[in-house]
Amino acid sequence: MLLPIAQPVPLAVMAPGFRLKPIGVAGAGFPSPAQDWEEDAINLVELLRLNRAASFVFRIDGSSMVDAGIADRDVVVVDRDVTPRSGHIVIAVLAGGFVCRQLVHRGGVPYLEARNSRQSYPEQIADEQTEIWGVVRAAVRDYQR
Amino acid sequence: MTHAIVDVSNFYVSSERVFDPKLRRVPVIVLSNNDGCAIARSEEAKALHIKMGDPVFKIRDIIKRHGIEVRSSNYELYADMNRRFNAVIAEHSDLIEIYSIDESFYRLPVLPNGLGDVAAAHKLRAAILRQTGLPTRIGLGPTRALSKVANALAKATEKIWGGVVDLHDTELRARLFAEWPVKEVWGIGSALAARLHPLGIRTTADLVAMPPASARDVGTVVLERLVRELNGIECDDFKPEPEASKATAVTRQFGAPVTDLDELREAMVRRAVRAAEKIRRQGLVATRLIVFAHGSRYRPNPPSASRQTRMSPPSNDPRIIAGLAGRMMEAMYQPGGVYTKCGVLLEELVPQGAGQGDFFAVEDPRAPGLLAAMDGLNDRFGRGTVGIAAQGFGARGFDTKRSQKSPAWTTRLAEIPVAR
Repeated sequence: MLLPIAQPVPLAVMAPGFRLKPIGVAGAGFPSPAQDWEEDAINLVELLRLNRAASFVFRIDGSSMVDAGIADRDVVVVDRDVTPRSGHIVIAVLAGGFVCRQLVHRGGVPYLEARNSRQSYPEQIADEQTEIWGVVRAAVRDYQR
Repeated sequence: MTHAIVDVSNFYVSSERVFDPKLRRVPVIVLSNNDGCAIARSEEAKALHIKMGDPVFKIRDIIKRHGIEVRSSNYELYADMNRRFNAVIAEHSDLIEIYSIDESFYRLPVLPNGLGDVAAAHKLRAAILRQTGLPTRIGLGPTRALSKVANALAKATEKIWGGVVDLHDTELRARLFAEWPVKEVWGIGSALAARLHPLGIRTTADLVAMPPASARDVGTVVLERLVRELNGIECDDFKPEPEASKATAVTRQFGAPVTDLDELREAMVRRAVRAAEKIRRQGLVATRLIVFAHGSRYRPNPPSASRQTRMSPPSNDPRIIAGLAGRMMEAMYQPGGVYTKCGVLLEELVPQGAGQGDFFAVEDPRAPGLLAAMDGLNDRFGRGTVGIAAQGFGARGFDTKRSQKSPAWTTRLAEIPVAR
């Protein structure tokens, strides 16, 4: 006899994301008293807002933002649909490459500042030519790494 | 309703530029499969007279002299950027129709004054640019054909009108159409333009003034409908492009020449699996399978052969199609031949379930589930996640050459952009 699990489940019909949910119990045990109380699994895609057109993912290389809680090799979620304001951590384009910095307005002048007290970084004014690519909304760290 | 069409300017180049700031403001071209010819050009590259389809070997000097940045096509990236800009359009309209990789139609309400909502179109353009980094142009009109012409005019007038043109106004149409060559109109190919020329039809205004009956005589009923549409009369069934495909082909040049039968069989099977997948996506099954393989005609005694067979019942099952294709490759193999290309054609496509059944055939009851699972896995984890063993594993010399491909910036965790 074929167990129901032998029938392939078309993944195409599933919403993208990480829905971890047992599909059933093999055998004829006592029916779960919780079965009418099931909810959808927690969806990290929704939490990190990865399912939006404006959400992109970057890898951090180096410790320029370590005091802001963003470490080397962290993955950050970047939102392009946000107007950058003072205090936002942003991805900016400097010298043809991407950097992660905090945008800070001081005396009406916008600066891009690193957050690492152990190292000094050159002062960087975010003038009109400086492209702010997006605003960092979340950081993801794998502690097993 | 207003018909509207959005197109992304130089889509492949623009997508590359979002993730590689070094490509901004310098000439950039993107190459076709196997890095053969230029299929996308930045405005700077167009200014250097690089034409669409120019083979790389012909423009090598210009590339070097002007430091043109060259990229292989990165379809993973383009597909993802296409998904993103359509998602932004979908936030602005309930009716959206993806027309090609860089163009989508959508609908929006007509303003009370009878004109198209140009302000809303500018807003959408700004939203697409902000959210995805892609520059676009938008054409608006009371019919599909007029929106397409408006889009072409938006391209031509981008610097003055900011990338949006609305053709609801008949006076504006008359003024612009008098200057707009008829061969630039959607659906008018060069052959049709040549037939219209002796009749004194050179501009779009001439075409608009053409009586529908004589349009039918010169062209077909399609030209007649086009003339109606250009006059602002909606023809629901107006589609200048052919409808559902009647055949599909997966043919590719090898990255490096192939002489070995096992390798050839693998290459053929891969193309067959891909062709089967393509028709499955359209809900079609194929009746006829044609395979071919040949060498370069610039070399002495190139091998060349093709085979065809009927499939009964019609199928889109890769196990059946690839099995046949592999055996047909074996049968036509010429030992010692140096092969440079092979391909699979599926013809006489019919909707699944609509075709004639085969009285003697026993269909595999598990096939629909298996194929749905296969397509689902490949959708979710990337093409080639699951296949059939005869495809072989990993990269092969015959795989398409994409030597200057940028990373899959948005779809592979190992290749996401890096910020310091």
